[in-house]
Amino acid sequence: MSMINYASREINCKIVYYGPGLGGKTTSLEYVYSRVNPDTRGKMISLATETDRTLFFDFLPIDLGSIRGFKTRFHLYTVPGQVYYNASRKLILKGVDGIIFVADSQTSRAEANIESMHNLYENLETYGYDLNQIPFAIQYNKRDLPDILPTHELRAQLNPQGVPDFETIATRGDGVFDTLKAVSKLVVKALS
Amino acid sequence: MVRGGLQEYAKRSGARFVLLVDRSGAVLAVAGRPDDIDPLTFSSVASAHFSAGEQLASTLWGGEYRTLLHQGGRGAVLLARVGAEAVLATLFIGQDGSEGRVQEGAELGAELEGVVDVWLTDEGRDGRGISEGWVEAAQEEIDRIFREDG
Repeated sequence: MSMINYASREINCKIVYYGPGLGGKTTSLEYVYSRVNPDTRGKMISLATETDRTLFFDFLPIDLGSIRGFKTRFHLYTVPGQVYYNASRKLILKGVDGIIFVADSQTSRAEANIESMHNLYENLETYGYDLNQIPFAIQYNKRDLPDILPTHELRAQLNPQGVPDFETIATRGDGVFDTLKAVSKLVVKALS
Repeated sequence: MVRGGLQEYAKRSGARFVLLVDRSGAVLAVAGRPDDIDPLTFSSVASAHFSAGEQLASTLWGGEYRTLLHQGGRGAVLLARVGAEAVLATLFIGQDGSEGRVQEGAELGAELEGVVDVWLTDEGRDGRGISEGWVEAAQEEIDRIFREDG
């Protein structure tokens, strides 16, 4: 969990975008990269296949600057969503401080969302982490597409615990910052 | 002890730079000259790469996985285990990863095991911890950085 490095007076917080394949995790991160001030962001790296599917992870560091004497950074990661990349997903969850679950709102992806959510719980459990104790928010993505589930149904399927959730259209950026802000604030609050 | 150990090792081995990285990908300490190489990118990939190699080795053979060496045309990258929580990443430019260098990196990794946790949590604990108001200041900064009008 959150590492406060007293030796170098740095705080690094790791936030991971999780969810089913092609749900919009990388697109959300790309939106963040495109919209934050270049002075505050580092280089975005994507370990992806030739067809731009995430193979291992995407990574984007965001620098909040020095806050009351501590250099503070967010490290944003995505995981590969495809079922067979579970080993990679598990590795990226190591040391996670906050999670954004990017659900695909399309009716045809309902099962994939649920499967991915179960997978998240299972993978966290292997590290002894409890999702109920980790800052967590959900994006109901692709709200601009036809044949999508109503939010209340998605909420019933994926968010019985009532964590912050947001309707998003990652391709346009709608709701992406709202979700990231919600989780980031919970993460810093958890440090106090 | 940790910083001093890294600096001495960097000098002795001729490394361009040495990073101590935690398993979540964050930089813990740096020695040497990163110059145009971004330590954050290097650390996130190095940490994930070492963990993936460790997982692969564990799947294939079991047992402990101590070092991983990349030998390139212009230099070498050596990754060495520092307990379960950290990785020592060393970049050599214009030099190869000789057996002696691998051995030296592995030894330092083993030496650091056990002291890193103590160092991270104890050093600097002189009353300058997170102060009252830090959370509010951080949250204000979050609002400033993640806003639609950039």
